[in-house]
Amino acid sequence: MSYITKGRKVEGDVRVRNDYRRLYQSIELVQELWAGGLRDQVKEYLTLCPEEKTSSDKCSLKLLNCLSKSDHFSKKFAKIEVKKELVTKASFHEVNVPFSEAVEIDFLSGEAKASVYLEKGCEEIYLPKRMYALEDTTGRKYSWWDNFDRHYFLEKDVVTVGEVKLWLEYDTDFKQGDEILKSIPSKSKVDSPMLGLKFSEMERFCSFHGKQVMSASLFDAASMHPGDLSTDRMKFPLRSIWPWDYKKKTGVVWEHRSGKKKEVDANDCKKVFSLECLNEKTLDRSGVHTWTGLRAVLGGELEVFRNNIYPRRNLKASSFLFELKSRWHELGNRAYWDGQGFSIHNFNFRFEDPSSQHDSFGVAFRCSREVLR
Amino acid sequence: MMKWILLILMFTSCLNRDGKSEFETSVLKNIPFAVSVEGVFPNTNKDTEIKSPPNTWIRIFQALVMDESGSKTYHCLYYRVPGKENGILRHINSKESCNENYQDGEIRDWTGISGLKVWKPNFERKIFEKVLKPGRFYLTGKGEREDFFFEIPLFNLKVERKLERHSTAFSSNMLSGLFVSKKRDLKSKVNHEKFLGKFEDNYRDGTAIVCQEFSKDCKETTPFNCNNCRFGWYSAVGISTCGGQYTRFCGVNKCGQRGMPACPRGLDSAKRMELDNVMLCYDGSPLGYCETGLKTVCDGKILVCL
Repeated sequence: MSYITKGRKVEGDVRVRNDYRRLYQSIELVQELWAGGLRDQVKEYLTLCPEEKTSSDKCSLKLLNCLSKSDHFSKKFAKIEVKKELVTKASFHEVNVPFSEAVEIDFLSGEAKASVYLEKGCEEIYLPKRMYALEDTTGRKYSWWDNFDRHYFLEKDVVTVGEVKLWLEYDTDFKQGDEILKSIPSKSKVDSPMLGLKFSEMERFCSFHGKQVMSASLFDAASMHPGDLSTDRMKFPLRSIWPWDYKKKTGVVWEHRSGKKKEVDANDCKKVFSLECLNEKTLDRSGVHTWTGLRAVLGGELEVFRNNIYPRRNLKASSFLFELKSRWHELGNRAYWDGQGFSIHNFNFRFEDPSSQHDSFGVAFRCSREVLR
Repeated sequence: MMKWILLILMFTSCLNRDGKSEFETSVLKNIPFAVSVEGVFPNTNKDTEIKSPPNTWIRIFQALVMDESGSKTYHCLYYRVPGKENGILRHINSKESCNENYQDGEIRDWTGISGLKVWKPNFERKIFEKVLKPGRFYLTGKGEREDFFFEIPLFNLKVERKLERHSTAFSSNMLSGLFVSKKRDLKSKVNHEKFLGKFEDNYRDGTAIVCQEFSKDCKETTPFNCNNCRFGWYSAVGISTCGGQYTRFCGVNKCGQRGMPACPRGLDSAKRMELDNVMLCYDGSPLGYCETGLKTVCDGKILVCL
């Protein structure tokens, strides 16, 4: 009799062990799809949502939802269920997940089960270790900083309406939350830039995610063309005014300023989304990618930074408020926003003031974070 | 028919005699969820069989796992080194630390082991046609019936990474940006992790919490704990005389403002600007920078802007 019991126990152990092995294989596969996008081998499983077969997006929630609906995937690997998007340090969440934002998924394979958290890490770029020229240009010797012994990740793009809504679901201690939600226009899409937060609210958003509002020095470092990439310790400070080249007399803005080009076309708008581009409604406003992968560095929305040297130069004025040939469309040229409101008196545009055409403005922002390694 | 059933049952019972499947199941059910591993056997990765001291229990590692109710459980692997008899691999599941104890707790033994080697590679390597990847434990050796190769994933543990241009932002876990936990029993009471700091904390008001600090002679007096800061963290220039040793605070970074820490400039850049060869934190130190009109001042702990 004891043999029978033992025999069944062994069969049970072997089955459970194999369930766990299959579970871990499926976790590995899902992570690969999350971090690397859709691979050819997996396309056959996506029978329920063929529209995803052509997508190469990384960190794609749609792709996870596809897998969760796929019978083929659940039979061959594990049954997965996408639970929720998390801002993970929110104190009421039951697991201390070491990421700032994640997607929670349940995995089930026979008797084996696990909760899996996938970090939303596709929208940040690493700032390469090197010397950078600071905004301070009063004397050459005071114009350096470097990050050889610190590591920074920067958000590629500005914070969206959807991200703010998700934050406020978690940050229930934040008193201004309801007011902010009410202020978001109903027609705003979740992927539209968030334009209605005061500076202290932006600080709250970023710090709630374990980050900081982007500083002007980090933004400049990641967006100004580095010139010579063969060395990380240049002899002379270089602050290029364009993201595409360190030379001044080149690129789309210079072509329009110099009169080489007269009409602003869709191609120009793809590089710098300026006033002339407002008719091109379907166009992506994020402009060129910089050498580090940062987007929306010229044109598009007004954007605020922490400026640790000149606090009254904290606003990227380069935006669709100005024509393409405007002086504002240069890296490092910044106006001022007091961070308190959105009326004309809250701004100071040192030159080419747009207040004759507008009575209020929206301001975008993005976050960055330091990591130990 | 009856004969066949009996034969199968006898065969499976023979299979179980060495405890292999129970051991493997018990390990795979728990250790991949570990949040930390300590006390790792020093001869790991040496590609040598563990032969001495014979007839002695040696610890391979201890793993800390949070169970379904959110409580801590300890899982140890021990090995009784073969002497006259073959060796034993033992998995202990215990509510108390099993770091020094190979006898108490829930025990699963796998007997008849010899030639055990333990691996926890820091980089991908190939051993006997098998690829060993970082972030996992591997046990190889001979069992009663055959050679074995047992892989134990450690999903939540950090692996080394190189940060450079175009590096991804995913955390450097075994599988980048992935964390696993046991499916939590929602009825159980949760022990919330204590996070550090409030949104309003700042250095000027004396409320900023230090989450890493070094002494003047470069000793780490507060070990890095900044990942537990509720509202982020930032670096400041402290009193350490060793480059790269920053004091870190929890909270919102307001560096450069009056009464706040100076923004760190970086050692290489400061050296170009006549940095003192011995001191890093001193009045006027170029190791930090401030808003225009303010100067760097060392307040005894931090380089601040005044």
